[in-house]
Amino acid sequence: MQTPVEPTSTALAPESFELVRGTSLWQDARRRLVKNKLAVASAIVFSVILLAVLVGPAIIANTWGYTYDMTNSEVVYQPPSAAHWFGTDQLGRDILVRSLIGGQISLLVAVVASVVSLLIGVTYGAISGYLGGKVDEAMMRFVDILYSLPDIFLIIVLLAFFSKDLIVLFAMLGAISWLTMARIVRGQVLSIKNREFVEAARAIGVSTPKIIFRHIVPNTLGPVIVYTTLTIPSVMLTEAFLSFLGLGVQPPLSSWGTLVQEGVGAISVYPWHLIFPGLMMTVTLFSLNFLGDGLRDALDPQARAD
Amino acid sequence: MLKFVLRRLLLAIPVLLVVVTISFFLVRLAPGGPFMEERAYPPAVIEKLNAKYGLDKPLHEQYFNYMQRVILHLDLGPSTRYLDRTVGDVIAQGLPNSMLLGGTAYLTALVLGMAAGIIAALRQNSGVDYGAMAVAVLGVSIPNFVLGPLLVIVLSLTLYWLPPARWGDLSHLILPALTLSALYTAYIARLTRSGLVEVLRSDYIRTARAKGLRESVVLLRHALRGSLLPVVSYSGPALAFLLGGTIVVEKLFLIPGLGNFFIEAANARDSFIVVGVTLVVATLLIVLNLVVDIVYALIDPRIAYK
Amino acid sequence: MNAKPSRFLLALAALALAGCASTDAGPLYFGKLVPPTENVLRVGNGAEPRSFDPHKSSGIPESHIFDNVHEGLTGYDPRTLAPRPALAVGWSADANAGVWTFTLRRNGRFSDDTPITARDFVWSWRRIVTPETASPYASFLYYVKNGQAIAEGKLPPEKLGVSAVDDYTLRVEMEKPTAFFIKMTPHYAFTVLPRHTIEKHGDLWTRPENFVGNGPFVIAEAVPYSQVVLKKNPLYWDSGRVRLDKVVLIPAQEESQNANLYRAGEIDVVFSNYLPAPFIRKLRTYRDFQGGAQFTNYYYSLNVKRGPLKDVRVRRALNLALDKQAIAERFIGRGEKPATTFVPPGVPGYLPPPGPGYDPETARRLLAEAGYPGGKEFPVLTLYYNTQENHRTVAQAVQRMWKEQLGIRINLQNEEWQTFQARRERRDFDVARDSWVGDYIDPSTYLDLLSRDTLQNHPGWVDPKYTRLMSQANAEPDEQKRNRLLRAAEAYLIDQMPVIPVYFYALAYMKKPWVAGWYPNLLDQHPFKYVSIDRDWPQHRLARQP
Repeated sequence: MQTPVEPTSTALAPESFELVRGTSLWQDARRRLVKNKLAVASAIVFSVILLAVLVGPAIIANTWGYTYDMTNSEVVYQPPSAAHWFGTDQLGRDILVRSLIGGQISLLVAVVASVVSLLIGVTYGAISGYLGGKVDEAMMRFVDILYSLPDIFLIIVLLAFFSKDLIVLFAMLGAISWLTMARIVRGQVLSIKNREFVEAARAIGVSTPKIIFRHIVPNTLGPVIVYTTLTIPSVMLTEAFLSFLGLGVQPPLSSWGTLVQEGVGAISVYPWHLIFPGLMMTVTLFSLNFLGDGLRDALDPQARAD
Repeated sequence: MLKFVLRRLLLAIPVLLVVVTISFFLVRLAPGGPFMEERAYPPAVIEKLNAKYGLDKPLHEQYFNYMQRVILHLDLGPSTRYLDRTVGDVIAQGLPNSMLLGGTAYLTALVLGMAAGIIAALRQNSGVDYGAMAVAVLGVSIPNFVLGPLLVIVLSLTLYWLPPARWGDLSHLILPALTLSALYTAYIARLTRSGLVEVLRSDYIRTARAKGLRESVVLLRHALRGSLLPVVSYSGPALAFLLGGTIVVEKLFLIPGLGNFFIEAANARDSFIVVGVTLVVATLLIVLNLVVDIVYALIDPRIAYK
Repeated sequence: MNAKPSRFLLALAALALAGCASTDAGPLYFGKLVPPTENVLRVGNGAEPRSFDPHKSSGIPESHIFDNVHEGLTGYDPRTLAPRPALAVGWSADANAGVWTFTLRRNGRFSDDTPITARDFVWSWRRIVTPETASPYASFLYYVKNGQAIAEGKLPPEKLGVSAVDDYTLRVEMEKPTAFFIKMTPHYAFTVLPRHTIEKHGDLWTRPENFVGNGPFVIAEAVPYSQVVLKKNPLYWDSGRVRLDKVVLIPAQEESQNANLYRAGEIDVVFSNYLPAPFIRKLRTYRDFQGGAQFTNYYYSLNVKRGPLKDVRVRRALNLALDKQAIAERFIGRGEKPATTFVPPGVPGYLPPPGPGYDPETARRLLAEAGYPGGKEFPVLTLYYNTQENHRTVAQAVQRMWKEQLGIRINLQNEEWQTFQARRERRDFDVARDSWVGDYIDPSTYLDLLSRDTLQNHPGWVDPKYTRLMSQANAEPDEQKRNRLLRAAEAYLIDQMPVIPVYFYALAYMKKPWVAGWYPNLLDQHPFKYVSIDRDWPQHRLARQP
């Protein structure tokens, strides 16, 4: 049985496909990426945020003496000022330093969870799509089952049985958000697997795993990158939800997700509590997103053929 | 085609069985219980309550009793959270409201998202394109628990145009539907744009243009049809979640939908409602995925179902 | 490119600010001021009720319904909460308060015109203690003779010490002399229920189409997550005094929802503690904000069977190192009062014992005596709390204070409600967030929590001396002597410190100026019977001005 093709429609123009050899894929991609101004600007913005998040807390501790857990009953809910650029929260803590610490956590979540979700999703989707038939059918119905299960209980139960180590948690987060990725990759693979270059590889006796991971997966990178940039905000926000359930970061540590969640409760009275962490997160997501678009364009095999 | 539909419907049965089974045991594994209250019930009372709902029997026996009741009598059981209601009552009451809200949000997302996607694709790399995609990123990165309150502050509490919460007439539908649609609008805009960009670049569009067809005909008859595929396949799971009740938005706007019942039941460990609602969502997912596959075949005649 | 979204967000934020700024500068009242056109009261009620059967729920939102559609022997005075005659027109107790006799009014009837007699009370009270009913408030009837034995299935319900002397005389025999019994009688656990409809409809008797009650109002409509509508009961014996035609209770669970609905003019009043804490500092400046004392405490349970917490010196040190004034007044700031003792203030005739204040010096000395000078070698304890903004705030403040003052580190762990409750009941914690809402105005509602080894005794602290003091007090018929015994018990409890009192809650609610007859009181009880819509409120407000 042939189940339908999933996102992106490269499938519709198989005859146009041509793998141009000569310069390597990555060299080409880098050249094209550097030419894309928006992508370069995004890379710069992202680097600045990354740098601030990594060294900022130490600088603030040395200059003003604030740390992320230092409470002060004298300065509860102060609006932004020279002493506290981003204002203070209900415990009189500096929101700037908390936003920076929150950035460390949120970026860590983003990296760990999206790597895990990429690994599982791409492998699962590629295998399902390539093998096809009954195997594909069974694997996709399994995805349906996982889609339908109430993840709140999945998390509560996992929490009851596994450790609460942060990295493990973030990996778990990735492990529950690979489903859509798998569907997308599978659709791509279905459309690629009967192309000439795959058949050629099969004809000369290349092994199945090698065909999947050497020849097919690299050609699905475009949509995978775009989808990853969509996964990152969702894992950052899911992390905030996990914190609600008692997983994720525990106070006094913070993440962008938890700061935004706290801030929204006081949105119309103390808006800075939401705006500053929210802005940092949004700007980061924007730069990652445009960087992702740039990468996708740079890796697009068709663009290369032009 | 008919054979394909029948096959998928048959396959749905084991999938639903697995979903019910796993969610049944997941709820039971979670700590706490349906009769655990801050003001603790005396053990004798808990015993009586457990006996009343058959929760005093060994787990496997409870499972078989439950399955028997569901399969033979189509009865999803009583509720331990809403004492004078059954799970059937809860679904009959919540599902229509959730479907109205979710359906409205989906249509909004479809119209806005496709419009933005098409315009962006036609004006690729122009300011309009970047603007539309920037708004799309915003849609993905502003969580609905922030967007909802922002809309409320502006439209309900400053301008007094719309009610800030509750359910009843059309005016109550607008804010939650807008909040809910933002994320989906963003996804659909991105999928439409990337689909259309690729199709426009493909040979058959070039051929169509070369034949001298009018641009509008090329666009509407050929390109759009091809670029719809990713949107359609994305719509299956998306609609299932939208129609089956969305926790955050229903809570935020106090909407008597399945999402509110579900989260409250989850918090109160009402296993009957949790499993029942999960079953509804899984059924929606399977049906909608099937509809997606059929729509696929209608849009793209090259996809044949055996 | 990146400037665009930020400008967008800032614009929204500016609007948000403008929204508050305009209300800050000008109006005396928060939000829209449009009174309802009919005699309808619209109330923010906090949560979706679990049941409309007063024997089957112990929730606060439910109590707001029960208290107005059912009526027992007595009802609360809307200001003082003292019991007022309701179905009982008079009562008396024998010399040591071992037997109570109530005289019932002859014109009491249910909303379907069935007369109410003493036999209905006997049936209702037996129903709540019957194990099959599984009522969370069955324990209230333990004060009545054989109540506990029946609830535990050791005796049949007919053995309950309540009987109908004649149609209009009810005799209640107590388990032990209970002087404060009359204070409990307004509680809905002691109400009268319509036997005939319950036997006819079973569990479905509470559905609006089947519902029969005897209060000033009846349930007319109940749509989950939407509204519960109560309408005036024309057959109520005192219906002449009831001024409202309808009450609409809205189960707004999110705190911000209550604030928003109130501001948009869609509700007239919000019960206490349903408003978001960060708002209250600002709301305080409006005339429609109401504050006051509340009979609810906030404390930490210490697991007295674990590690260093076994040592009373450590427990005292942890208490002395907390600057509760900063926690209550600055960090939470809804009007809470720092607590040094366990029973909230306000019980008439009860003088709380003195409690230790903020004293980090002594705390450090005690910790050193216990073998942890400067917090050295002190194991890392974990403090658990259920997920909620205020609990998180308090926990972080406590964590920081113990670190700064005692040099000890603790972990914080929040948990979803059920997981947290299960943990607290199995006593699998070092420190756990805790609080108690008093059921009636008497110290025993608090002090009894720790007098025996029950599920409610979270610290697992069972001390024979305390148990003895409490049983002596509860058997003492003389009010003054009893209060002195209770005071001694509380003093001992505070000395042993199995719980760290943090603060006493405060009332904090909003009430539109046209809502009359709704008074602040310790239990946040507001019988709708006395509430009315005052259409001439602008004149009345001016008249009240000094």
